[in-house]
Order: sequence, then structure tokens, then C-alpha cells
Amino acid sequence: MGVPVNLKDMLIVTRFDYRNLVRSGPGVIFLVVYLFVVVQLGAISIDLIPFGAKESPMCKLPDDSAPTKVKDKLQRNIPPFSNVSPEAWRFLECERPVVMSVFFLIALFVVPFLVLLLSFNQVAGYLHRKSIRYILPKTGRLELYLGLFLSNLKFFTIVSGAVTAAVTLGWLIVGRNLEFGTVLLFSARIFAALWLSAVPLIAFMSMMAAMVGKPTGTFFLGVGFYLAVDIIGGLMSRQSQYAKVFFYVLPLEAKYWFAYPSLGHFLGAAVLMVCYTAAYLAIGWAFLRRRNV
Amino acid sequence: MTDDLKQAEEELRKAQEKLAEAQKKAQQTQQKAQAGVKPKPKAKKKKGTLAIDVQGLRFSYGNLEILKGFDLKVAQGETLGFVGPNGAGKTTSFSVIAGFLMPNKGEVKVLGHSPWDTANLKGKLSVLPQDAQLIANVGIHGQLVFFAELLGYSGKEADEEALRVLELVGLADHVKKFPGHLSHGMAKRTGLAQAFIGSPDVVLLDEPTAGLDPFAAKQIRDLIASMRGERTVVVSSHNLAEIQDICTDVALIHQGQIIKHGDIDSFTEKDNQLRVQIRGGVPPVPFFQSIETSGGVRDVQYEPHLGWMTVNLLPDAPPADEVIKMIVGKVFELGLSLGEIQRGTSLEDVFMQLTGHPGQAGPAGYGPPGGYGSHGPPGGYGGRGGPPR
Repeated sequence: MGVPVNLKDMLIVTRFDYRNLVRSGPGVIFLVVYLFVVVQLGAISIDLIPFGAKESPMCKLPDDSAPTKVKDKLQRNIPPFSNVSPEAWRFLECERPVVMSVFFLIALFVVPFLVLLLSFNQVAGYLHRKSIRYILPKTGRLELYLGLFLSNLKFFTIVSGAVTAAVTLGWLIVGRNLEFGTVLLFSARIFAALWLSAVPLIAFMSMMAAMVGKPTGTFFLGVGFYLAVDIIGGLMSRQSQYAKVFFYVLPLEAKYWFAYPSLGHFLGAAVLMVCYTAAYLAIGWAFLRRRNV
Repeated sequence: MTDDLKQAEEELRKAQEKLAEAQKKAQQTQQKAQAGVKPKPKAKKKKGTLAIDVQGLRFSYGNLEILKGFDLKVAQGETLGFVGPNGAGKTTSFSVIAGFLMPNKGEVKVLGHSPWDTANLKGKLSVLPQDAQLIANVGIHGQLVFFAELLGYSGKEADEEALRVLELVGLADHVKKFPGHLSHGMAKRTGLAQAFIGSPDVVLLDEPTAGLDPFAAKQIRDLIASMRGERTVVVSSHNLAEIQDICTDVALIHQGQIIKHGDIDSFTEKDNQLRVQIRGGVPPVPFFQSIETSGGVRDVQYEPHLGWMTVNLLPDAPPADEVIKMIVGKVFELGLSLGEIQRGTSLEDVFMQLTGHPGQAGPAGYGPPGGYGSHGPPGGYGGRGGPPR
């Protein structure tokens, strides 16, 4: 049985759309916002890193001290710190450079949302402008659909990789009291976690685009749904443990598993992200394959 | 007497000019043929699988039924003109045949495959969609290279193919332009260029010359004409003269159904009808009667406001050239002059009649049925007032 998708065509679409994306409005907006947010975070963390070394003094403070109380309050109530279990937080705080951990948690909170800015236009732009009609007689819908998904992923990977590398370099230069290997490995883990958290959201926007067919509609519905799940899910989960299930419509909760110390948690989260991605892509494909274009 | 002689000489001179013009046209056609632009042939239809086979096609947008169940068979090698009024369903039909829209009912096959079967139709079917926009952020050359790569061209070949088709549509000097910098006509020509990449067997062109300047339009018409017999080309256009000029067959769609489909000669009754424009006065009734009673003539109609006389021929009529010769002789005998001579009616007239549009209806004219009416010379004009004829 052959592969049901023409991989060569898919990669041609990816290569072409990447060129399109780099110059497109969503591509440029994503780049600007991403660079602004992540570089700002990176710059702050680089400034602070000498004070947030591994085995930070925070770990050694007594439980009834004022800073510990503030920290506990933060961990209980304020996302993204409240999204992480005490076990994960202890790992991030005491076994890894704490400033990097804070960067990690905030990036994990913000970056997947920024991905929505990038990927709302991937299929919807071609559908809305009907440019898809030039392409379809030359290749299949599946090749186009997956090719566009991959081009967004490629763009995110390159931007995210470059920014993480730059921030890591800053950490290494400034945080001389940190172990080189620890910083490098933790950076790799941060990048992998951010990347794995972003993939399903690119697929989610692919699905929304295939369903809606218009860039603005896709953007507002996608972002609106994301925020609704985040806010309503957050509120509901305070009322009932079962309501937390609502969170799992999107990979909002699962992404924090990447912060756990164990490899098992990380791999579990990675598998879950792959499942989310596959599910979104499959639903989107079910719409696009028979959609009038 | 001298005046009559002068008039006769003048008529003779004009007739000679017309003959010379006809000879010139024939010569031009021959030159075009030598230059690779094929003269309009009898459609060289290939046997075997139909290029397009549509059966019982129905399509609706919500409750609005656009296509109401039509059949269409297009043989390979046919150049089909797809005509119809606005909103008749031309673009929707194109979109269904191209695989952009899913029919509600019915079956569509292109070269024996579903239009959604891209794997089997890749490189065989190409489409110029009417309202598609080019991809905004990549230059036109880059886009054509992309399309060529999807059709199996690699690297340098794709680049050369993109340049070839840009040259073909007259955009060789605009290779580096982005869609945002193109005029409407240039964007249309880029769309056409992508339809000519490779050597597709079936080419669907939805209004290919709409919005083009006369020079570019002619270039595109010549290009389509050059494909006659080699590829199946379906052209949708509101320019009926253009369709008559380049197509071998015509399908007329009206209110979601194909109401007439056939080769263009039968469509325009080329062998069944002659139209002669008489100038210099209104011929008397006996003139029409004498033509009507000639061998092979079924009936005669006359439109006095434009001077057009329509002669409908019987199937066993003598060759049209002989009938023309007879009519010309009679016109000159009356001392009148000739305007144009057409074999068959124009596609525009057929279109007007079949779609029920108030077309070139003018004052009533001579001719049965209805006989000799109340207007005009004694003995009467009547009959042909306008469609439906």
C-alpha cells in the first residue's frame, strides 16, 4: 500500500508557501510580536539570571517567610505559575536556574497564543482569495493542506529556534555562575516544549480555516475559542475538578506537563500534543476534502 | 442613361472590391495556417474517451438551484464555446467540471476520471478560473515556477517553462513583478499563463479575454486557435463573435440547463441560411418572390431597417455559392448595391433567439410565415419582427 499523500508535492507547497508567509501580513505580525514578547522576556531574564542561579536561595527560605508566602500565593493563583504542580515547581525552582524557569513558564503561557496570529491565514487565505483554484488542478487537496501546515510549522520553528538560541547565548554569557551543560540542556528542553505546544495550535488553526474559509473569521473564531476555553475552563476548574476536562479541548493544560522533572511526563505531553495535532488535522481535512472552493 | 451607366459601373467596381477583399481574407487565412495558426477546421475529434462527460448535473447554493440537471459531452480535440447570459451557470459549471465545487447530483468525468481525482488528472487538466486571485506575496515568475514544479518540472526546467508561458501571453518583460503591481489585464494574462504550463489535454478557460486590450485579446484568441484539434479547449465568453471565430462547437446554457449544443456550423445554420445586406433602396416584393421561387429556397425574410435579407435554404438546395451568385445578379439587376454577405446567422442572433432576449428586433419585415404584412410596400412586409423567429 502506497503513501496516500504525494510527499514531493507536499514539500513543494511547503517551500513555496514559506516564501509567501515570510512576506505576508500574518507572518510579519507574528515575527514582530514574537520577537517583541520573547526578546523582552529573554532580555529581562538575562538581566536577572545572575540572581536566579541553580539552587536559588528561594528554595532554602523557611515556609513561613514573607517571600515564600508571596511565592506560594503566586503559585496558587496566577497563571502560568498556578498551572504547574508543586512537584514541577520545586524542580524548576530548585534544580534549574529559576529565572530560566520563569521564562519557560511565561513563554509556555504566551507563545502558543502568539502562534494563532501566525497560522490563521494558512488555508483561509488561499480559500478566500480563491488562489486555491490555481493550485488544485496541479496537486491534491491533502498535499496542499499538509504542505501549508508544514510551511507554518517551518516558519515557527526557524523563528522560535533563532530566538531561543539568542536568548540562550545571553544566558550563557551573563550567567557565568551557571553550568554550561545545564543551561544548554534546559534551553533545549524549553525550545522542545514550546515547539511541541505550538504544533497542535497550528493544526487547530488549519482546522478552523478549513471550516470557516475566511481569514478574519478564522482569526476571531480561533482566538475567541482559545480565550473562551482558557478563561471559562479556568473558572470552571475552580468549581469542580471534573470541569478541568473542558481544558483538554485545547492543549492548554497538557503543555504544562513539559515542566515536570520526569522524562515520562515530558514524553507523555509530547505524545498528547501529537494526538491533538493529528485530531485537529483530521477534522480539518474532513471539512476541506469535500469543501466547495 | 449616362447616369445609369455610371451607377452600374460603380456597382461593378464595388463588387470587384468585395471580391478582392474576400480573396485577401482567404490569403490571410492561408498565411496564418503557414505560420502555425490553424484555420478553423472541421473539429478533429478523437475517438475514445470523452474529454468531458457530464450527466444529470445539478448544483445549488443553499436553496438557489444554479444547475438544473444537464448533460454535456465534449469529444477530445473539440474547441467548445460555452455561452449563456449572466447568471446562467457558466462559471458554476466550469467550477464543477474543474473539481472546485461538489455537485449535488449527477456525474462529471474528465478524461474518464472524476475531477477530484487529481492524481490521475495531474498535468492533463488545466483551468483558468474567472475570479481567482494570484498569490499575493510571491512574484509572478515564482508562482509559475511553483505551478510547473507541481506538474513535475524540476529546477531549471520549471524556470524555463515559466518563462515560456510568460512569453506566450506577452509578459516576458514583467517577470519580476508581484501581483500587486499588475493591471487587471496583466493579472488575467498571468492566470492564462498558468493554464498553458505543460501540455494539458483539457483546458478550461473562463472568460479568457475579458478585460484584455484588443491586442492582448487577439493574441490569446490566436493562441487558443492554435490548439484546435490538438487539445480540448472549453472557452466561456460573452464575446460571441470571438466564440464564433475560434470555436468548433458551441454549448448554450440558459437558466442552468444546456439548451443547445452542436458544431458551430449547424448552430449558426451555415449551410441552411444566407444573409445578404441590400443597400441603396428597398427591393420590390417581386424581387423577394423571385428568390423564394428559386430552386432550393425555403423562404425569404427581410428587415428593411438594416436592409438584411435572410434566405433559408432547403436541404436539397444547390451549393450556397450558386445561390449567392443568383441573388447578387438579381440585386444588380435592380440597380441596388450590396452590403455584406453572411453564410448562416450570427451566433449572437441564435443566442438572442434561444435565450429570449429582446435582441436586434427591428421594424417588421417581409416574409412568411405570416406572409406579406401591413407595413412596407404594397404587397406587404411582415413576418420577421424579432425573436423568437
